[in-house]
Amino acid sequence: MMSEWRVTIAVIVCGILAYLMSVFYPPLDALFLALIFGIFANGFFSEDCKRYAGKVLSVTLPIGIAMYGANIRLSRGIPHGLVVIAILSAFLLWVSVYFFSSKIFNLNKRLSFLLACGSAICGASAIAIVASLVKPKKEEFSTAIIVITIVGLTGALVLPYLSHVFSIPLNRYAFLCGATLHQAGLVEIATKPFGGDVVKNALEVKGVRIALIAIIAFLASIYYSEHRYYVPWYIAAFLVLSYFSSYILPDDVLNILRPISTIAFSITLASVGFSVSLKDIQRMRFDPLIAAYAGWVCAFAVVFLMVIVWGPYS
Amino acid sequence: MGSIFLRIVVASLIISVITIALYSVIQYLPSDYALAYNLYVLIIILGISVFLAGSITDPLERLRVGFDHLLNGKFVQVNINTRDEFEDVANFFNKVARELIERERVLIETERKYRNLVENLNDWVFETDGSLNITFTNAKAYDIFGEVKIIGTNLKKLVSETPDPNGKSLSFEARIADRIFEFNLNPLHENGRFVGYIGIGRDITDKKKAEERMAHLAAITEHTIDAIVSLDVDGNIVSWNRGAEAMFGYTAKEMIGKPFTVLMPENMRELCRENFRKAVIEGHARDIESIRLTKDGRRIVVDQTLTAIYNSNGELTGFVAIMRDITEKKKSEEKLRKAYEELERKTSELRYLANIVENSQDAIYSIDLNGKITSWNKGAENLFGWKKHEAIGMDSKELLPEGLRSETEHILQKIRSNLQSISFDGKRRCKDGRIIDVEVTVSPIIENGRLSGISVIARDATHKVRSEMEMIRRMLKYRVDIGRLYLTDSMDVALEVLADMTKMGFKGTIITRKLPEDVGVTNCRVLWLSERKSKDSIPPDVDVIEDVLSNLPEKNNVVILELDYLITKVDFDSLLSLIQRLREDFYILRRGVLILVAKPDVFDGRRYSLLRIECEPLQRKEVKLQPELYELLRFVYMKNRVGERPSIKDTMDELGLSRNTVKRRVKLLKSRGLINLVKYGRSKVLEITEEGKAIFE
Repeated sequence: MMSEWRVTIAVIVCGILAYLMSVFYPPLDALFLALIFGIFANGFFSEDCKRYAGKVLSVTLPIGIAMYGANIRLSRGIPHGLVVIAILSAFLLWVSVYFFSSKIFNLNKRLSFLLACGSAICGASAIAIVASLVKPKKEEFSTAIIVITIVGLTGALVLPYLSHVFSIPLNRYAFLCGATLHQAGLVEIATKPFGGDVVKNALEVKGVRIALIAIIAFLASIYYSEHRYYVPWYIAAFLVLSYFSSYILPDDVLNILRPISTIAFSITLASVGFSVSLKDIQRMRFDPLIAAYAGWVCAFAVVFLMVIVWGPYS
Repeated sequence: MGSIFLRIVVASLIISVITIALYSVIQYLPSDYALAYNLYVLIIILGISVFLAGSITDPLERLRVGFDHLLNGKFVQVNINTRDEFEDVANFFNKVARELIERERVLIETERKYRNLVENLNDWVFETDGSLNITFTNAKAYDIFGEVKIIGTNLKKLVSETPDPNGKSLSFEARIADRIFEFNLNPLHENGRFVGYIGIGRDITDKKKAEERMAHLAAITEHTIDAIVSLDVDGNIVSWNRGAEAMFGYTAKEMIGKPFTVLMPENMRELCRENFRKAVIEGHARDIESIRLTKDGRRIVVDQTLTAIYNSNGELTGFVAIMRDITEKKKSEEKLRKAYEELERKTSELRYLANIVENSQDAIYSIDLNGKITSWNKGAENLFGWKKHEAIGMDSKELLPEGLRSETEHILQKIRSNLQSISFDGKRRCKDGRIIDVEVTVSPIIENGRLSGISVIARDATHKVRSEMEMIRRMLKYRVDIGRLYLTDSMDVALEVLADMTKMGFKGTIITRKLPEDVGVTNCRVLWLSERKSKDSIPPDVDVIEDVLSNLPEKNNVVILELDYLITKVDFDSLLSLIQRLREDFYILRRGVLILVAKPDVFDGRRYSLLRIECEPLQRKEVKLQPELYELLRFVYMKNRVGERPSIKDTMDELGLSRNTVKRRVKLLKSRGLINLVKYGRSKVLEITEEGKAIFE
């Protein structure tokens, strides 16, 4: 019981600490930091304590997912063409990563699905949400989280460089970031040096992709349900809160709700990170990372060409 | 080794390149976020390094897991397809692990088998230390000693016969409870030092008993009077016991190895070989009785049982022939069979005779020595009227009329004296009171050499007697009937009747006051009525007279009783009473004829009348022939009746006449047509004519 409380407190501290660091140093994304802190915190606990990580996650995950709906900003007033391209990009990313994972590198379908969803929608957040439906093995879940984080971070560092090399117009760059980077936090990292508008535009595109979590969650609940079509309550709550935060709730409320939502989801990702085992990742070898890189690079190349040749803001 | 090295080098190179590339990239990014970028690069490099290191060390991890499983006794196939040393190691590991697991499995299986073997062994397996303290035992010990503490207990305490330990093998037998155990203890050594024993205690009670039984059976086999001969499948003798030596005269040395057929007569050898071949094929032979030859050439009959012998593989290895000499038995059986057949024949004969007896028209019955009737046939039922169930057990005197009741005792006495059959004419009383004439043959019944009774065959002779009586009546000169009393006043007439009747075969008795020489008859018994006792005298006593007359022969008596003197000695009533009783006696028993001679002047008129009432008068027949001719004609008639034709000489002898007298009388009778003189061979014989017969009929 004591161990359970210690783990709970640890993940809460990791989540809050990540959030505070992101507040004080905006280039650091709270969710990303929480995940990293969770992974590192795991190393300070004994094996007995680690056994409670799953139990803590089973509590924090549904709350975090449900609350994360407040951070979703479904696009309002963005051009339909942009929405279509954003969806198309997400689709490309999903197909490409899934293809490389399952067909080229022969990873199992659950891991491939997690990697595809993490790449196409919203990174570790999407993986955490979808994992509750897919019910992957522990090492698959850990691997998917770490791989998507690494690939996303790589993208977040490479995209500003590409913008500089190819002198991509800012509106197109914003779209490129929103359409290809894995997490909203990474989108902010990649776009922040280019000004608030770029961040805003990029997040709008990213919002379209995030909104797809509702469809994916619904489809996954159908595909992976064992006995009947089942949509967990927190997915439904997440979808409802996403809709409310996007279209109904006033900004004042959202300004209060979103930090809470971010903290809750940070704690969730800290729990996810805490449950990640480096030993398990070691067992998964290098293949998932290469598959995720390859899938993302291919999809990115297509989207990049699409944006360069036929940008939505052109 | 080269591949792993190369892989590490490549991994390091990739990390380096990525690191350089990422740092190169972040040089172009705003310096405001340099800290964050560096942090992100670090995380990326760290993450990639983790995956690369995992990729390199994964085979090691898999091997480690494989070893873990191996240590836990599980076999896990470690699949490493890295085409490097790890794959070789994994293959080697798999091979070694498979071998180890197999060996362990074999070891476990072997241990299990040995454990089961030791635990389930019917022998007591144990280990001791150097002082014979038991350190290990299987469960059998608890069967032997019960639920006592075995481990730690000294063997000598459990088995008192145990010798002292000497570091060498110990073997001994010991008795535990009522069982015999054989112990074998072998020393255990560690580093060349004696540390104890491993021992086996085997219950050999049954084995001992089996050995005793075997010895017993062997002794029986060797000393039995039966010949026990074992043969191989070719019919050659393998063993030959003493019984066989005694039976056939050959010694074992002479017979072993020889074919069994040497014991057969020549003509039976081929059949024997054929039967033996059949027995080998079928695996058995039926018991037979057969002829065998002894050494001295005698033929003996043996009862032979041929039993197949199989080895432990179920293969036929030979036969055991057990032969018993039944020659004497067969002879006895033959005798018995003949005796049985004789018995059957006699039984059949007896049954036949019994049937004859049962269905005989003659009355046949038997009487025991007490005079009780013990058997009674249908003829007896028909003749006497008593049914069988009534007659059996009845006193035989019931069959006898009054006055003859002593017949049975008389007959028994006679039978006892000479044990021969007696035939006589008698009288019997029927159930309805009738007295019938019977021809009786009495025979002794001998059982176990002793007289046990008599058998009586009685044939109804009433008609025969009557016809005889009728014939006699016809042939007598006077009209007299058997069983009647006649009264005459003339002794001469009475004597004439007596003489006539004695000639017809009657026995004459005269009781008279006349002196015997004055009576003038020779072929009669004359009893002189006198109060003086002498040889031929009879006192004038009615009882004595009655006694004498009652004991006359049963029939054909002619008695003359002179009453003139008697009436002077006894009162009339007594005399009359005697006469009345004699009348009944003579009539019932057909004793013959009683002629009373009484002069009317001796008795007064009334008394004489009373006598005449009881008697009948004697009347002479009216025959137109002279008496002498009648006498001759009657002689010829009587002979002709029985199929004889008397010659002149026979007639002379019979009638006491001279030849001339006979010839003259024959001539006279012939002239009247009453008789014929016919030639018969060289002599002449007399035949009565029909006219002559008419005189008598």
